[in-house]
Amino acid sequence: MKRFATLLLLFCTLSSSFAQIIVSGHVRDSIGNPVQAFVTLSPKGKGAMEGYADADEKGYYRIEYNGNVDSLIITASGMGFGNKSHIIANRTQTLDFKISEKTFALKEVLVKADKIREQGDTLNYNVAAYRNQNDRVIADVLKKMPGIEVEDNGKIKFNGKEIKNFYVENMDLLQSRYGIATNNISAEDVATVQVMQHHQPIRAMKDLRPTDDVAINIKLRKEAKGSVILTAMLGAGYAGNGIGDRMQLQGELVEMYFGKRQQNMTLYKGNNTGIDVSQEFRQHGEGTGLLYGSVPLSVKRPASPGVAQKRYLQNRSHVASTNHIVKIDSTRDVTFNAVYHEDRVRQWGESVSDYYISQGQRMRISETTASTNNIHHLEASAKYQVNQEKTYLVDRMNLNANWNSTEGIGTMTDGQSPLLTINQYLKCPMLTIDNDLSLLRNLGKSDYNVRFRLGYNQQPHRLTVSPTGYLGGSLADSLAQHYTSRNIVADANTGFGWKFGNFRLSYLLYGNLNMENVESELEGLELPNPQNGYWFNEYNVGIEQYAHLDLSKWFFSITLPISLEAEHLKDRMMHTNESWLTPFVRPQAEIKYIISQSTWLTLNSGYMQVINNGARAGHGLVMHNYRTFQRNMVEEASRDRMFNNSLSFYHKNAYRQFFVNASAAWNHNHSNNVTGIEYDGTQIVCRLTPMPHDYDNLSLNAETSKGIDFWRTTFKLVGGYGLTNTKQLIQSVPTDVRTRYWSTSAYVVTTPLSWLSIACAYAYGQSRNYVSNAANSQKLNNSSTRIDINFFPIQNLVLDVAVEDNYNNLTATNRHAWFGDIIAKYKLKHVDLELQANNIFNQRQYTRVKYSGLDIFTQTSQLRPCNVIATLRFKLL
Amino acid sequence: MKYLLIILLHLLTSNLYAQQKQGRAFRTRQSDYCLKNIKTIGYSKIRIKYAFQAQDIKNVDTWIDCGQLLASKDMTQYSSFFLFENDEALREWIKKNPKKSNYPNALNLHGRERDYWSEYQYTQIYIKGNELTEWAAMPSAEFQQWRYKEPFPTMKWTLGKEMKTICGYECQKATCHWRGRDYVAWFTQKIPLKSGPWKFGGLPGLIMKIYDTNNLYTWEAVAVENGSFPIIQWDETKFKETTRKKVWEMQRDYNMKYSELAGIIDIRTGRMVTKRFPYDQLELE
Repeated sequence: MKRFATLLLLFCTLSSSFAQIIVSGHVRDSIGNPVQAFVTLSPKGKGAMEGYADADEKGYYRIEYNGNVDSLIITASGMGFGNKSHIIANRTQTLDFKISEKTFALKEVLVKADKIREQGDTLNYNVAAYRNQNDRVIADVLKKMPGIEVEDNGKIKFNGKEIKNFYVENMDLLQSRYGIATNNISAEDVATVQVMQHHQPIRAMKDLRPTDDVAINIKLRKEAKGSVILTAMLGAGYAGNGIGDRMQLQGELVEMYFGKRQQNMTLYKGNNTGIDVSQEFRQHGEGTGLLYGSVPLSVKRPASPGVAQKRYLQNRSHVASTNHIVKIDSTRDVTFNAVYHEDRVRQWGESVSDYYISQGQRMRISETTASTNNIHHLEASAKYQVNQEKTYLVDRMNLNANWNSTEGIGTMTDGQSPLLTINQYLKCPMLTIDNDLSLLRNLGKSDYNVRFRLGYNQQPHRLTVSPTGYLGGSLADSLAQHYTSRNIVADANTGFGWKFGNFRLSYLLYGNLNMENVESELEGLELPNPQNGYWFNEYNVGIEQYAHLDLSKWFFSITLPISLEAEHLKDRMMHTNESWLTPFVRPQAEIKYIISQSTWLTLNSGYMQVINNGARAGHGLVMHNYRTFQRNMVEEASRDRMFNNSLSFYHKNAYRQFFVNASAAWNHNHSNNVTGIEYDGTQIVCRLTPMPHDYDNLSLNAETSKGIDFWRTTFKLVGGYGLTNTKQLIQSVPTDVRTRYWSTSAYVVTTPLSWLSIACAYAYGQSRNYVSNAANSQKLNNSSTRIDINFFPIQNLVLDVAVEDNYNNLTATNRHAWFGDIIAKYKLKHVDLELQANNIFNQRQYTRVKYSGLDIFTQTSQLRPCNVIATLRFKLL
Repeated sequence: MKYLLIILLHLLTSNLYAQQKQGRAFRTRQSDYCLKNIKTIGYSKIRIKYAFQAQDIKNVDTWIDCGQLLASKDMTQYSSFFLFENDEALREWIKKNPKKSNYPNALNLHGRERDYWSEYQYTQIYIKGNELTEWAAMPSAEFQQWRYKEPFPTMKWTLGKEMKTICGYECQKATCHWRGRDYVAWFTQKIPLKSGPWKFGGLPGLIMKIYDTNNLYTWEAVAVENGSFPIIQWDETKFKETTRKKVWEMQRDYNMKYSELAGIIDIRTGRMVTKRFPYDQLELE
């Protein structure tokens, strides 16, 4: 009996512990309506679910469970609300769910992030896939994207081709000054960089005029749109013993607004820390395309040493800019851009110029110069644009003014004469105003356009040099070269185009004029003809025929301009009043073969003849700088015949992040005159002299870039080779000159560990000049290597250690110049702190040697000493 | 030794089946059913992308297809993301070149063996309530596109206890036998959608990975995205109603004997090409 009772008790216990329980109930919303859902059951403490059921049309569910856990998790799930869980005891019971519908977002995951997505002609670069903590602005990320190249001056190229337009949220706010956007828009605010190939910004011409132009559009994150972003930066530091300012200061205030109907970027930047902020405001691309005469006067001062600009630039820069675009409606907008740049740039350097005079005879001139360049530069433009399906109208007015001056104090000796002190001062103001009006109409299968451009440019320059003892025949203590150029340029054209299926034909009638007045006088030198005074006017009328055949795989286009050019020279000094009339044909042809949608070949060929009687003007002597004087000695027109050919290859594979382009170009020029060089003591006298000669140039270039997922790596490789053959006139002797160069550069950026990123850049160049008169030619080798190592020890801290080597094989001593920089950045919620130590090896000067085959130029530039700067960057709005 | 070689060869060839499009039917140009008269029938707030037959899950070029699962309030659609991108690019190209009589064969079409057709890529599958509709685009030799409806197939799933992380989500194992094959699925309750790639579904959460136990067919989730994704329906006038059996047979036949069905003539012999390819169809019944 006892035994039986024990067994019964055991059976009851077991059956109780494994008894089936039922959990049932309803899933309803707040007003009692059934909700589409399913319900799951999981034992508490175990991840796996062990039962589930759908809620029926009444919202009812029922789940059975056999298990002996204490508690259960019952979860109702549905796309309308996500998951809602209750923990209940393990017994049969009713459990109702009251659901409030809400939108819920899934945790986004990408096993393989599409770094570049191709949609038709648009490549979408996923910014997050290329960005790391050290990237502050979008330019930092663009540099790492395969296929995209950002040059030192801010110019952007895509697979070797310079971009034509740069948009932020599809609006052209900056009008080719896109450095303002790339250097100020935070990388964190950008979701996607779009590269638009075959970009035609004119809606009316979309189907009528195909283009090969490339544009970039920046797509912002939602948070960066529609609200004002205001950031400020303040920095101060101290430089070690050496040249330039000891106290280092920098500051900036940037305001940005990117709305649907208007955008604005207004900013101020200032520093004396060696950063050339004006590069950000540089205009890329062609602008209005009007060309004005140039003034040849300059202060002789050290050229840029060939190392990174921040190593030597002694500046006090202030730049302010405002840029505004307003969309009046979906097709009309008004844009206003203005930039003011004020700067004082100082340079110190010494140079040795070793000139070839004749076989066995050389002249060696040693100079030192300290120069100060004062810059006051204002540029403003206003643009009105109508971009409709049938009509395109744009009017753009530009104002460009500067009142710059440069002064230089230095010494000069030729080793025989005593050391001379030379003072130079150049005042070089300039004013340009121009307007560009363009109208295009789409008439269905045909179109017409009218364009009118008008510009005025004035440059009254004056160069003074004192003392004048180094010149024979000097009358005064100082020399003063006055040179004023006034230019009126106008260009008008109208054209009509038709499209017949795959064939397009258009005619353009054009007329333009370029009137230039030059008044120059060299005061203080006892020489004949110290003055120039002439008007040289060019008038040009012509018709251009353009034909384009599109055979899907093959594209043929021919441009055939036929023009009549009249030139008129009225030289007050030479008492001449002459006119010349010349017809011109300048044909160009292009054949494009599309191997596949992502691979194509282009062959370009063109012939051009230039006859310019302008060289007949200016027989009076002009002092270009204190050692260079030029006099035109030409009694006939300069005639150049140019034959240019190029073959280009492009390939892209966005999925493989692989881009390659290569080109071969051969140019043959025939010219009937040459600039001859003669030495008169320490002076260089250039004479434009009749001498028929050829100039042949062969160049081969290739570049490739590839992104790979392994360690988030991007490779960029560039190579170039060039060969030039020509003739020069040296000391009245015709001399064959042959130049050969080749160069290569490589850039790799990789992230092997989550806390480590490495960027390496290497560039090497070799050039060699062969001159028939010189006994030997020397190879000139230059290279630069830079390694940037970024550590991210914690999420908000970045340590950047950079080492850089610059090498020149002809430098007598210190062929390798080593530089080192350390930067630490710490990011708080609203403030970024940065501490940088530049030039930690304290390189004080850098020597660079240039060799032309005959002449050797050795230049030593003074560099910025070791300096430390702390900056504070904060977000005000 | 001989047996060993035979076994090795067998293992290698059976593995090959899993790694390529089994048949050799040329893909159709998407001219007549996906470029014009298409309809946006809804929007999905989520998109799940699946790699189909990936050799390397991190390398898109080693996938046969990238599928996408979209879900509106009352319907799910499974289709090819590669084709969706390609069609979008072609539509844009046609818009830009309205006068061109011809257009590119493909634009930005990705994946392995992209010139060949597979029913697991060239198909749209809609599940609405308890009804499944398959829109079957056929290879280039078949000029008619087909469509059929069937009740949403019941898959009797057995829940396992194993857990594994797939595409960043913790998933639970489940198994079932369906239409002649045994399947292993990994699903997550965190995505409360009783759906999955191709026709698979019915588990209490989204299927993130599924494969048959012979490893012939594998889908694995590679992306979970929030947004607003259009659900594009192909041109319905180009799809003729039929039965599942007929589509199933056609798909099998085109995979096995495309050359015969397409009437391909060997120009050297002047005879019809009769070469057949082995084909192990996913649905065996």
